[in-house]
Amino acid sequence: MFARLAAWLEDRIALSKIRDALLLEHIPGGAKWRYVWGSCLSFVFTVQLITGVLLMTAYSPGDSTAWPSVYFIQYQMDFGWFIRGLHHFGSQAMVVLLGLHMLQVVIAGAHLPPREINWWLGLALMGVVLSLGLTGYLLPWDQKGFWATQVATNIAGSLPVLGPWVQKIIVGGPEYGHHTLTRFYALHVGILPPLLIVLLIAHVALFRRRGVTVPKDAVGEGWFWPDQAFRDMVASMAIFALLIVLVLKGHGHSTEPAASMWSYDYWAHAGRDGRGANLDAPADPSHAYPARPEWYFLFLFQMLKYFEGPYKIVGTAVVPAAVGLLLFILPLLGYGRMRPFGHAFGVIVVTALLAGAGTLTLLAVSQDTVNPLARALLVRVALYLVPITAAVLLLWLGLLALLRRGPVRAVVVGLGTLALAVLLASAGMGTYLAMATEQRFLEHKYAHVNEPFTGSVIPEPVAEWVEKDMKPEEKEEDLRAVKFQEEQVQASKLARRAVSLAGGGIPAEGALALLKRDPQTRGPELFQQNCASCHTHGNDFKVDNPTASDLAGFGSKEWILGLLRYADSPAYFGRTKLKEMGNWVRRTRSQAQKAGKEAELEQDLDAVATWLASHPRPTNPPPDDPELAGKLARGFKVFQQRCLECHTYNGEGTPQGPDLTGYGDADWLRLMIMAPDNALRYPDRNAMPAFRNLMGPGSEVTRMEFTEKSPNTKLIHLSDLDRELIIRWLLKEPQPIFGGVPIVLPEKR
Amino acid sequence: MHPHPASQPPLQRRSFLKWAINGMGALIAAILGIPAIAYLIDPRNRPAAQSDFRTVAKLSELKPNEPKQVVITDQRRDAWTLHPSELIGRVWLIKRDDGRVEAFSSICPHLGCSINFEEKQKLFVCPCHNGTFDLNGAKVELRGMTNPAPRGMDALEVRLVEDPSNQQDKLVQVKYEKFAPG
Repeated sequence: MFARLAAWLEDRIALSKIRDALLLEHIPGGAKWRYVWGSCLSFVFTVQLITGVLLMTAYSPGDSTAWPSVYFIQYQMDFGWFIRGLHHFGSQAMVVLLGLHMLQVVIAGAHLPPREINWWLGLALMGVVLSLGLTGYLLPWDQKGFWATQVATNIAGSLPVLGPWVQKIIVGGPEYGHHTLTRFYALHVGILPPLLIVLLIAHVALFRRRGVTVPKDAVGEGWFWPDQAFRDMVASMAIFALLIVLVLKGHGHSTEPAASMWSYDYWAHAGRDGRGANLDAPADPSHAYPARPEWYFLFLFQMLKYFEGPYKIVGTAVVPAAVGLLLFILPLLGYGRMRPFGHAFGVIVVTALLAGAGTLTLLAVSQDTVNPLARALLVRVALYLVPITAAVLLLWLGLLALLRRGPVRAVVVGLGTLALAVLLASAGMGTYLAMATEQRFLEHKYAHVNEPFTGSVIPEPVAEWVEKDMKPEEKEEDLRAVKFQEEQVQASKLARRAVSLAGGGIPAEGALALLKRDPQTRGPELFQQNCASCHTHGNDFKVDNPTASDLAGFGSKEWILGLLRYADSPAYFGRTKLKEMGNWVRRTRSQAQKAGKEAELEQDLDAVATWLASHPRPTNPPPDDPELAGKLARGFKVFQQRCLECHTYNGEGTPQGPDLTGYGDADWLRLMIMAPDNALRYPDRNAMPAFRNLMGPGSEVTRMEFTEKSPNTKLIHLSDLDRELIIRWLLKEPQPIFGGVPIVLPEKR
Repeated sequence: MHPHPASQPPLQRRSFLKWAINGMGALIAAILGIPAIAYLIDPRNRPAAQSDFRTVAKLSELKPNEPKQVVITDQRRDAWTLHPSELIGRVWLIKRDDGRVEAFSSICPHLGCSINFEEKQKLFVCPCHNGTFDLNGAKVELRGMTNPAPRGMDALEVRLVEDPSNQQDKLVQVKYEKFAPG
């Protein structure tokens, strides 16, 4: 049955011919491990295509939807973290493999005539891959991608003549917004990948036309299928395994305690455990961010630092254009008798470029490193180890080119391989140790423990070698790096908060609105702006001349108990003109002392504080816990005996001090903030301004009514939303506020 | 094309290589494919719109045997977006002679269009394919017309509760649910 179907198909579309054409490629000189890079690139590109299309099924480009949709992929959809992680790390693998492929090609001389056009196709492919990286980095619309990509488009804008115009076209307007995303998205999924496929087909077809560049020492014969295909497959598999390891390790923000590691739920949502790619806080144009590009663009970023002022264009355009041109003409240097020179020159150029990029990348990392030793180690790897490795590679290749086949050559091959392996391993190890030490150092630094840092993983001999020639200024923490890392800490705090809030649902206006309406994020800022000229809040804000109470823990039992004991202290009414409560405390205490009933008084105060901290209202449902209910009942009884002589509750008592119905809850605070001189708060000796929404339609009515009723109270603008955010933050209620923005009419045109 | 040279590896080695290549390919496909399928069928995890009992009308607003359309407003989740208060459905209310109130989803059980009420004929009619229902929500066969509806209109749970602002009146509450058409 199956055989008949196969025969039927074969008769019609001759699949076997296509297969043979693809697989039966003769490889003079035999299959080799060093030929795998091209196939590996194609393999990773295939992974990118598959994961990319999967991501397209859930991604939504748009100012208010991009971040939430990526959040949803990363934290909510089954295995979204895995698909996104593969795509994220796959893009980095593409760039690394490009470098290796390019190096292998020039070493083999495979760029020389008659393969010039294929070299140029390769350069074009490199451009497309890097453009894919650049456009993809923006799509999550998080702080990281948003600010880093701004730098890239600003570079485009700084180019002479057409620059500003080109920038506006790419960005889709004067500022980043909807059309930046739709344009980058179109480039990333609709234009660049098909272009890459077309170029790749041409690249492979041209390669097949001329075949591999046979090494001069090659012996024997081979075939693509299965000899080379096997090697390609093993290499691809190894790269895939590496990608999986990176994805599993991940560098995301964890949100909630994950389910058991042995459950489907855990692995379907392992993004919640920090696995997979990172998602930073939602892009916020008003909130500056320490922009760094993706690591494989760091060398360009670093290069820009060396060209200042009028020379900026050297870094942004002249050098990249010169490098591009140099790479472009490399194959043209291989005609006729120039060929050996052209070959050597190509190897030198590509090796130097790769080493230069490596050095610049490490220098860029070192300049963001706070720990002096780690920083110095990175600098030494960048300035010594990387150039030495490149030089050894070039020397070795030169020697091999001169030596004929024989035992001497074999020894040189072995020794050179060993030397290169040692050098590469040292460079890699040095970088790793420095970065690991820095990470531990930062964790120590921001844990704020007063102990010297002992967590360095740099071995003693290496540390001694580095310290030997460290200049005095190198031994200090670099202030710019400290600033950068502090901003990083703030940024990741915000990112974690955004991610944990998003689990409860994101408003239609987007994820930024979520943070703007989060009491925990906005509360301190608003308190500082509106309250901290009079009130303190522990030591959170610097208040020069506080004239009102300390509101840290307002409404809690501890806070109320403190008030009942020390009403005169600066933390309560000590800074105000409100003296009655302090007098009462003194009077009551001395009476109790005289009567020898101090312990009883303490018990009574505790009971009242417990009752008041429950924000008592007659409409509150009774508590489920009978013990608590008993305590509250006792508190209420004491309150009736001792407090009603000055305070009211539910319409009973003497309205001399403020009404205590619902004391300390949101409704109580709202009246206090909006009408502090109300009969139920402080009608006589109030010093607090009234905070009302004085913007938008209807505010003039508020203002008019208010001045009529309370001519002696100052009126200050505070929007309804901001007021509620302050209230929630004071009461430690973490839920963000959805909707509720006051109406603001567009300005007249 | 080059002829197959004699230097082809021995048959045994060739078959091992082919086997290994296919095996590795299958492994990669599985590691990528299985999570990909789980990811693609993730929408199965998202619940259909439904609500608790929501007050939709006052009893006094309903006239006996006269259908009235009301809307259900509730929290709605669309993937990541939380709409705190949004229209999630429309409901036909009918007060019976004995004071009982019945509620029907306005979504046609045929293919999900929104059912209208025809005053003159006293019939519910779906404007898409003429699904027709009587005042009890039951499917009606009119002469000369085909009725494609597979069942009558979908009934929703209703309850009447005290109106705290008016002792004489009652509040009509409906528990909304979305039924699958067809």
